[in-house]
Amino acid sequence: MTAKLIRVSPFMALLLFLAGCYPIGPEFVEDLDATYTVISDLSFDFDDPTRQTYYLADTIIVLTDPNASDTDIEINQAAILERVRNNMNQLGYTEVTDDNEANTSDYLILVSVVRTDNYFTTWWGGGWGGWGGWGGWGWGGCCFFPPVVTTTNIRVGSILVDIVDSRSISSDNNNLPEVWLGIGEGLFRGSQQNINTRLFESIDQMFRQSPYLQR
Amino acid sequence: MSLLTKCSDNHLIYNDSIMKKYLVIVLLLISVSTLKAQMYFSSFRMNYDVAIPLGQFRDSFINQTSWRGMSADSRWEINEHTTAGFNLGWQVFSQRLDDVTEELPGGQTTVNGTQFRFVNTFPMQLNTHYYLGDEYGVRPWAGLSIGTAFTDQRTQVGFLEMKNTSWSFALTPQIGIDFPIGIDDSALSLNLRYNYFSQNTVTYNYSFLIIGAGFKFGYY
Repeated sequence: MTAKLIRVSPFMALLLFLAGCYPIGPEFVEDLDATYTVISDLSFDFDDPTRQTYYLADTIIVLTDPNASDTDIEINQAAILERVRNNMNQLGYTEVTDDNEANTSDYLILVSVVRTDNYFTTWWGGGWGGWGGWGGWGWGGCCFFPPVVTTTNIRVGSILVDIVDSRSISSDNNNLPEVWLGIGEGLFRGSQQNINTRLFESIDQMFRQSPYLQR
Repeated sequence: MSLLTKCSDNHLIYNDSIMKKYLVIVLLLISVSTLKAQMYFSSFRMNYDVAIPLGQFRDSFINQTSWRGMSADSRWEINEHTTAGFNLGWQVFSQRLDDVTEELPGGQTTVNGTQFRFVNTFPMQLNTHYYLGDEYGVRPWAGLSIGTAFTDQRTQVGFLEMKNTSWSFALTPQIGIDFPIGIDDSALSLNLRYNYFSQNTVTYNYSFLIIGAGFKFGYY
């Protein structure tokens, strides 16, 4: 018993030490929200005054894990597209609404939503049996409580807004010439209203932190 | 040939006598220095440290006072007023910053969100101190620590973590005062230490002021 405690104590000290190294962290779901913008093509001239129009694809591509039991992510697609549209219009661009004239626009905008599931299995108790084989699993270990096994899913959601250079799209090439990418990422947790509100805020932020898009 | 041998023998005899004299002198010196060392106290110190960021470190990364720090310090007395030793320490700085927009290195990516910033510093230094006052009285002291410091700096935004670790040259001028508590040579100790860790992996050096309070355990 004493020997086991002695063997375990450095590990506990290490846990306390690590907890001490990073004393603060996220407290609310919103604390993990982050917005990224990437200039995909550094040589692209965003200041080109001849680029004034955009075409916004009317469908959001939704991607979930292949084995997910619930694939309906219940986001307000129309509202998301409207938010992207408002931001582009506020920057001074004009939308091309006619599908037949989409190829005449300067930019093509694609919106997609990705939801990923990250499963973690954790357990506690049973004499630290799982930590490098100390003691034994279950009642034979050092402690009086049975092991508790928990599986947690950290579900992460992202919204991606791509700006593609329409003028450079080639029918011979499957690759779209993306020049800008905005990503809003966070925990996919909370009420539908809460998720949508955070999505909208993230869309606004990705345009706000890209002043070079301004006409 | 025989003359050479004779000369050589004499030389050996001469060397032997010199060696004996040196040996006696060295033994005397060792015994005197041991005696002298035993006359004074050495000390081991443990401190609780509070740190205030300064300079560019404060302006560029963290400006919140750190309430998490500790240090250990061992000192051996060279004479009545001087000690030499080494010290180890650990100080954690952390700060939450809401709605921060930062361009990542390369200029291609910009990230916005709530940032959690951390700096863990671990100085490992040799030190020397000079003391005023009487051995058993209140003793103000001043000293200097020189060595190295390992620093682990992290910024977390969402699920992204930016990490930077470095070894730096560490310089720590310091002053303090010991208040004896009447048990052997033990004392309560207050000290003020300016830490300067120079390094080149970020655009600023780590500098901060430590206010330390601790206990000095004296021993022969």
